[in-house]
Amino acid sequence: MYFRVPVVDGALDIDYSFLIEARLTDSIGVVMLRDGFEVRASWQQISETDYLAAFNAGRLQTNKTVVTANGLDTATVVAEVHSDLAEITFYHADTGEVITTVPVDPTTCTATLQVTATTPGVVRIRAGEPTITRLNEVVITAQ
Amino acid sequence: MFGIEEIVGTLRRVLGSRTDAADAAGSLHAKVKYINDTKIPTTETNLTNTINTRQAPRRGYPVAAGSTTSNSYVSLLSSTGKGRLIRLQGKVASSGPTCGIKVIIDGTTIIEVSPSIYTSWTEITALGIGDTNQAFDMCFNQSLNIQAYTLGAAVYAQWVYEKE
Repeated sequence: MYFRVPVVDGALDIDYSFLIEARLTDSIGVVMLRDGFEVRASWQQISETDYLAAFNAGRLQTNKTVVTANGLDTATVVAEVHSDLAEITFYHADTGEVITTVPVDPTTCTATLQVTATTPGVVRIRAGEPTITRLNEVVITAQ
Repeated sequence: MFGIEEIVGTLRRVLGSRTDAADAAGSLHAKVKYINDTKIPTTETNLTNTINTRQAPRRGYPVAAGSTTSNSYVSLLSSTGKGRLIRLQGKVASSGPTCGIKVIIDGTTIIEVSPSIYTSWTEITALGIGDTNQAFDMCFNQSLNIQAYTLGAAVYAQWVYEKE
């Protein structure tokens, strides 16, 4: 589950035993916790979209995980993002290299990337910064 | 030669009465009470204290990660108790920021490194960053704290540890 929690004296107001992942700023943090935690009054439960927004990221989906490496066959990768994000950057997840930055459609809160390939191989695409969840990644194989 | 009275008297003196006060030099009743009231509790306490100085079974925690965009050190992990930091890795979202990751064990800073040039997970040990063949592998008696800051792109750490 995802929560927004205060940062007190430089540390998250949580029992770190249940931490899966956190993103901190100076005064606030968003956390993903494993089962067994006790909710504190200072916490605010947030959605997966809210959580990923802290990483300037969104959940990625693709209509194809395999494309023909002919430069024509196209996979459409769609990022579902928080409404606060105006644009989202797609990366090669393995190298961190920027692919492109795409504006977010404010009505659908999505950003789309078209992927083609001319050589066989595997490409891992990430929307936004890395998270341990990898919800913001897809893998497309060109063959 | 002893008569029955002398034998019974000796037995009474040696065995004593169940109401005898605890006494290491007293009757058998007094000695038993002394052992029960004084020696057994003391032995139990000593045994407990001895056991508590030994390592208790530890529980391993699955890999967890933290990241920050704070421009001053904040705690990605703060844990109290006894345990061991097994592995620690760091990286940045994109290369180049002035940043740091610091490991504090029992209140003492063990290592402070900058993962500034590393955009994929890179091993951090008590000696530095970048050696992929080494684990961190240090015990803590009271507390473990992993802190990070960055003046640019987000800085990340992930870790595995165990604790009693």
